[in-house]
Amino acid sequence: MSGIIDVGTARGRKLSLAERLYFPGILKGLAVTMRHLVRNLVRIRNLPTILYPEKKRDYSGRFRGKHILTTRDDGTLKCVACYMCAEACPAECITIVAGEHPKLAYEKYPVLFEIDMLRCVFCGFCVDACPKDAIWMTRDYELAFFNRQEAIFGIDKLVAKPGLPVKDGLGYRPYYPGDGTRPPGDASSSPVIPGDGERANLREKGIDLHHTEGPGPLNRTF
Amino acid sequence: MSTVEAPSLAPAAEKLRERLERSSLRGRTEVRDLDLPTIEVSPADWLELARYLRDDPECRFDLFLDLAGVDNAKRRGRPTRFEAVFHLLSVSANEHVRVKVLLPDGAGPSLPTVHGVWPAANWFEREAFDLFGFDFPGHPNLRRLLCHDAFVGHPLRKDYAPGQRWFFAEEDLRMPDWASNTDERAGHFETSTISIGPSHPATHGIIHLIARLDGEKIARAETQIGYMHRCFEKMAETHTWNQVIPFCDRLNYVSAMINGVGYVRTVERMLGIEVPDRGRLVRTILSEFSRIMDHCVNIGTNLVDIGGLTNFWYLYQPREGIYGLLEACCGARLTVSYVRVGGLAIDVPDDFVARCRALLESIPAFLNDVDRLVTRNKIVRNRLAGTGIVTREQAIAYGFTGPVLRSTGVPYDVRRARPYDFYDRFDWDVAVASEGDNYARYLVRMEEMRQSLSIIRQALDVFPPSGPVDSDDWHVVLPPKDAVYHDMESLIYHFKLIMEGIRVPVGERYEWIEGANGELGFYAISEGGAGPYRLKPRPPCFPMMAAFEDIIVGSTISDAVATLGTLNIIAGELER
Amino acid sequence: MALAGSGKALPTHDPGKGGGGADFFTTRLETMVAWARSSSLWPLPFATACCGIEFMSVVSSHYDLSRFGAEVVRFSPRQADLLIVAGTVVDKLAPTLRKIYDQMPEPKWVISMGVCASSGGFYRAYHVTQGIDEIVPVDVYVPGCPPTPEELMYGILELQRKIRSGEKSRDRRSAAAAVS
Repeated sequence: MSGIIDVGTARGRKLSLAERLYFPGILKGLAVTMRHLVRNLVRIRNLPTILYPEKKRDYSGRFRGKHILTTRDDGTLKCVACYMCAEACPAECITIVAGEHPKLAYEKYPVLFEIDMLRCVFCGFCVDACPKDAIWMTRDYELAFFNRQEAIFGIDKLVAKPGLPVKDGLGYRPYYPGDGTRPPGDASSSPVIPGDGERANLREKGIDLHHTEGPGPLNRTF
Repeated sequence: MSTVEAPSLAPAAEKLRERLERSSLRGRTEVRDLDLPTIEVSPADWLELARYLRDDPECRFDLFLDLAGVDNAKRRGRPTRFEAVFHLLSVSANEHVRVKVLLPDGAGPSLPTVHGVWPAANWFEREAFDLFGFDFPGHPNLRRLLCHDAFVGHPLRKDYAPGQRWFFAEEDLRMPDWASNTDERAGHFETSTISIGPSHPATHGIIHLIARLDGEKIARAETQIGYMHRCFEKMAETHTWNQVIPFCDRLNYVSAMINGVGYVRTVERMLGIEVPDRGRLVRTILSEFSRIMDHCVNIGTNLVDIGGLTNFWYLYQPREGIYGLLEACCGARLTVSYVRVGGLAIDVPDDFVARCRALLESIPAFLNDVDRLVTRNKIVRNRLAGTGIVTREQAIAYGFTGPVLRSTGVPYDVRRARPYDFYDRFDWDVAVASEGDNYARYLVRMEEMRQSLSIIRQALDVFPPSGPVDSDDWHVVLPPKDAVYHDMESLIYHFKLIMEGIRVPVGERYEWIEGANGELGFYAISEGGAGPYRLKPRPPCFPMMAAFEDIIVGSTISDAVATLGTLNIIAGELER
Repeated sequence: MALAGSGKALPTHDPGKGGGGADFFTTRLETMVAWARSSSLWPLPFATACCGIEFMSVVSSHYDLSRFGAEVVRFSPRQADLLIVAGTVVDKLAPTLRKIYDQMPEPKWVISMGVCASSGGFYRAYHVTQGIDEIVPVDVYVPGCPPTPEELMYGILELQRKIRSGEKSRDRRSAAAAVS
């Protein structure tokens, strides 16, 4: 029948004599694993292992890691405590207490803004929901806690002051398809790329992957 | 229930009604035309209707798909509080039908068991008993399935608080009655009853197999599940339509994208919106990559269970490559939450096609290596060929779908039977085998991975370099951010979508796609609210787990372990 | 590397303290034993859900947990000293988890991998344990859903630092006191 492939007959069920003896099968298997071994020893640059923590994998500019609260040029939080991120969050991990901002143009600001990192599922819905460009996610994933209170991040741990570097660079952010700017994953961060040898092979086949600099040493990842 | 003055129906429903009118069930059923032909029947007539639907040569609904209990307490326009919604499939005719058994109020909800008609119904009825309290007189083993034995109440009823937990201690665990009986054969001293799992590497940590052994052979077995029941369906009722998407990812977590696609397709059909071609192609490409990931894990862990560890390392390399692709698209490796109702969360990166092509170059090398190590290996043959045999009739009777069903010779693949998202435009083959043993399932999955690569290659050839991935209906899809920041109207749409959620019209829908394990269907009921009123995923591995205890009778423990591996039981999907 | 988020340093093991020559050998021995323990953790992956799949990625070629001496995954609690609870723990599985923990010999540590194990995650539901610290004392909580493999490795490195600083296990404190 067209469009159907019968893997039973296509592969054949009967084993040949050589296959029924154990020893040739062992040699054949060893050939495969030895080839991997030799290849790894000879082309060490292409080893897939990422030597964390000395080297880190270059995640893209859309990585959903630890959140940051962005600030305006005068240092105040962009957040106006509208509660949209708290509504959108499927884990209900954002706690906001709003307060009245003395400056009329800003109206409200969050007196308290807490994210419980041990409830957050890093889905990025808060970033999608924010109408003020106030919450982004970074590429920082190095979070580990010794108790649950440590995991509740307040404004002091979340705020990203203008001019100060954000650890590992920015990650998942709102993007603006209307005005011609591109999502950060294409413009400013380095995507996951294979090692030099692989890249040369792929270029021969006409496949050109982006190669841009990013935080942390580049890595062979595939 | 009378059928006088019935409105005209679509052909499938009309044909069904005519047949029922000419049968012994005349006047006792009512056929409606919803998204599927729907038959409403009372519990007294259900068993007869079930036999008719299975045996009538024009109907032949031989595959039991799903049983969803529904509590209509907060729903308008339904005649009874409880109803049991069955979905059935006719494999030969490729038709679905829905049967609603309306359970009269008054005495507790009760309907006859149909496990004699479809053995697959056994566990589905246990689940309905567990979660809703439906009684099935005549059921051989009506005990709780998903919730623990000290649980009080029926959690999916509308009057049950979502967070109400009950304390469960070890002594509350009820073992089956036969496990504590003394040996039938008093003189034989080797019979013993052991518990394999739930914390056991071969059972993937969440399956509890109670086996009575006769030496090394399994004389009788029973599986207890529920060790991963994460209350997906209740969580779906307490969250909005889009918020359910992260929960969907965690159903079949090794191929997370596919669950999301299945769910949002259901909602999009209910809304009647169309996703642009580019968005659908992205969904197809990433779904096929997810299918490859799923089969990699399945084959890798199965081979680990029977002792071939190397393949696990080799098969995890393609997974890492695909993780890189998914992470570049949406920011997360495994639980992607990439789809949204109406399209995708964010457009694909510029080098999407280049990345995909690079993966297409690198993945076959690993598959070939595993092929060389495994396919014609004598030890693998001895372990996998001839064990865990399921015949074609058994597979259909037990409700199998997916690669397991195809390994018994039934070429049922939703992508071919009811194509969606461009599968009918590509040239690819459905992989089938005929022996129905573990080795056949392994071969089917290896071939399916290669077919998936072929589909992806063809999809990339027609992939438009630019264009929208989301529907432009701003009642459903969030407007672009630059508009939200600058334009009042967009801000209002944005605000309403976040605060109130999408408003899906009142109705119900069952949509199904080909998950990595089989037919993954989502039955959703909307009451016009911000979230689903009821969402029931049809888990493809649920009937396979139910049949497992029957498949392994007579085989050794080692064969049982190999069989459990090839059935591909994913706990997130099995127990939701 | 500073501890994530806390300003409070753990009491570091100071080999200089103590009285006299005999203590020199004992404290040096303790330091060496702590180093040996931290560099040869044998994990018991109590893998239930998606985090289990990410754990499998950690032990696979790309991340390779064996670089930290933790390659030997042992599914028998008698042979393991690090219990990594990866995935949601539901109320039905809770007694099993406690039993596994009790069967592990001292010294033992527990890493709660993922938010489902740490706090129930987004499953505020009728069958899900809202954090395994209701049942077992936890040494390190690793957030993420699922945590990326590096995130888990970071958690293991933090645990190694904790072990080397002298802390053996938290079993003396009851599980109830560990609940925050």
